[in-house]
Amino acid sequence: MTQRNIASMALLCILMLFLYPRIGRAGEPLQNFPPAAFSQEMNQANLLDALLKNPKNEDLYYQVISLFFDQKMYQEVILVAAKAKAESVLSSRILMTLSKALFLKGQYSDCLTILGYLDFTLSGGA
Amino acid sequence: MIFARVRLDRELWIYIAGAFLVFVMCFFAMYIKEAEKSGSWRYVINNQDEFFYWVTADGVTETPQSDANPFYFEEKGIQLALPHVTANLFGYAAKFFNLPVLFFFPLWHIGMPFLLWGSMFICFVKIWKYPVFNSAAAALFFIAITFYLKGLSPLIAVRFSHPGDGLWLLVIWLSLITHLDRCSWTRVAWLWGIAFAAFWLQPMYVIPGCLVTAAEGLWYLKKRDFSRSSKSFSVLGAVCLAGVLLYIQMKIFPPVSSLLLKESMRFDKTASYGEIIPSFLLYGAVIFSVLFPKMRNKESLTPLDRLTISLFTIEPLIITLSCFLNFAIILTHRYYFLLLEMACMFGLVFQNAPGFFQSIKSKYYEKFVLSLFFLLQMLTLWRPELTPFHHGMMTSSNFLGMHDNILLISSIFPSSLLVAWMFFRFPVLTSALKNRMILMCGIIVLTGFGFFTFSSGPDELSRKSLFDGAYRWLDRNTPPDSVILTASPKANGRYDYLPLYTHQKIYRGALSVYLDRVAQDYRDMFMAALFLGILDEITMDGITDMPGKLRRFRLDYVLIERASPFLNNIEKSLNGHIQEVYRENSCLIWKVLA
Repeated sequence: MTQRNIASMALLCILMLFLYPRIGRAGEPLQNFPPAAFSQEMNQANLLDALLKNPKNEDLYYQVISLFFDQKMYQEVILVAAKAKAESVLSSRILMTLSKALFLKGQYSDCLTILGYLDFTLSGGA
Repeated sequence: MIFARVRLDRELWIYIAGAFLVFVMCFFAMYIKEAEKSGSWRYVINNQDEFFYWVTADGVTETPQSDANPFYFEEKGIQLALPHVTANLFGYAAKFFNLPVLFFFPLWHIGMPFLLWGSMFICFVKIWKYPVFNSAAAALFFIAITFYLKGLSPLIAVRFSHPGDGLWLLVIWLSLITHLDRCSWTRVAWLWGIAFAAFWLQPMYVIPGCLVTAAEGLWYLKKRDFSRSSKSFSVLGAVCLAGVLLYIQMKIFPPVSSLLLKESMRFDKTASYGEIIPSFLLYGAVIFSVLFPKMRNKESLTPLDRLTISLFTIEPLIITLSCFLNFAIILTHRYYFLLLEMACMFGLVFQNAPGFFQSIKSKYYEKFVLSLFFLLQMLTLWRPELTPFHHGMMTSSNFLGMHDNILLISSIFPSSLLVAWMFFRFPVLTSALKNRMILMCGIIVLTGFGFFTFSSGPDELSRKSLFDGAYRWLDRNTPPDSVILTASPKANGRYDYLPLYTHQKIYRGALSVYLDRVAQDYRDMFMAALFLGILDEITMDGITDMPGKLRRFRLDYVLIERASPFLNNIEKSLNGHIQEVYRENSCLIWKVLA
């Protein structure tokens, strides 16, 4: 009986080991960066890798944002801009350009979000 | 007193008084740093949802009452079909005593976790019959651990008003319903009241209550104990009654807004089919770990066993239904039930672990099993997406990301078994814990540290009290219900204390319930154009002239930081339509002339 107990527990453990990665996907935090859509739909793995390896590179952020923008993936634009804000790399010039572009596309709420980042950048977060 | 004939002796009162002091300390541990950041105790709200609910409570104090969207002048007087009852009650209290709603802020933040702890403590002692010290320590530990887990769980013992307003009721409900053998009809009548109240506080609270109640009813029906079975099902009747009353209210008062209900009832699948199988398999694992020891020893299921099985049914049930219906609201609010599920999991481990480890005769097999659990735990701690804790414990990097309850619980399950094993195999550890003072101090420190390190993340810079003087001036010098535009993109309407400290409305709030989405789009466009300095150059809703744009929705004053980088743009856009009426070091106010 003891051996059966242990075998059952071992089976349970293996089952859980098997399940963890799958459940991990289901429970992925929403604020994860980079957005899953980037790697799945745009297939720009090289650019993404470069961005992750050089999180302080403003040009790379600009390229990624432009890519998302061209494909009308505005939520992803905001996510990348938020990441850039966290790294303090996007210049006010780019943020202003981006907010104007979002305004022209009719994305007013997203435009306000970027203007908020611009506000932080220009006023030094005070 | 909730329970008939429940007496609290002196020892219990000592624990209750001690816990009260602990939660007073926790309140100061959490909010003293917020006050330091904002520079004032008047600006210490540290999460957006809570801010929204306090404004809702404030909306109740208005005449006419405005709890649907208390932010906007145009939507004044609209009430929700299913109100935020707790927020509304605080609003009524504030109106009755003629006090600002935030007067009750400390009362909530000390009283709610204290009430939650107290309900667990009394239930553990009086209903579950656990030792007094263990009950006090376990109740505090369950609250403390919520602060260290990923996702929204740190909000459980903090946020006004959900889920803290109903969790304590759920604790009593689940405790009583699983001990119907000690329940007279008088106590069942209390249960009806609890179920009814839980529904009106937030219908989501009745999900675990109804599942466990139905399971208990079926359990007694199977045992042909019709008396207890009917008691169980009668509680479900109380929930149905609450639902019928809501339906009648919606029919009698059709003008009230049912937006939230419509949103939650909209049919649209929200989960993927791929999530069903893992949730059922893990549910199977829970059932296995409950039933296996009982079948082996030919024992009957304990109340804790039954509670665990029926409570964990929530997870696969909601995920499965979410594949066919729009259960997004429930799916993302499962953290409401995390504390209860966590308590069941720990209870189960400490109930079954001694028997399990005792049954292992061979050291070899014991090491094998422990190695597996250790490996599992290492795996979860090694991979950031699996680890149950905030990264680095102290940081808030992952705060407020949604997280799966099953993932969280299963990722701390191996640790709890390992700890149980250590106490079983090394009695020296158990004897060390016999010093109750040390153990309790440890849990208190854990709790206090949890409160102290609570952070809502990146919005803290928008909480500075730059406009305190302006709010006081506006409240004294402008007519009630004037509309103020706070020109601060970095605050983005998230922490606009204006409705809480004045009798004024705001032009745009990022957190308001959008009763009119077209109007919200106009407000968003207006604000964006204003900050970009192009308001006078564009056409909005077919309106080309500036006075027309300003009159589209009521706008009386603009409040702006003097150091704002958008000051010139706004001044340029509104040139000729504004007049400065207030100025101080940090901000100024323009009156809009349109």
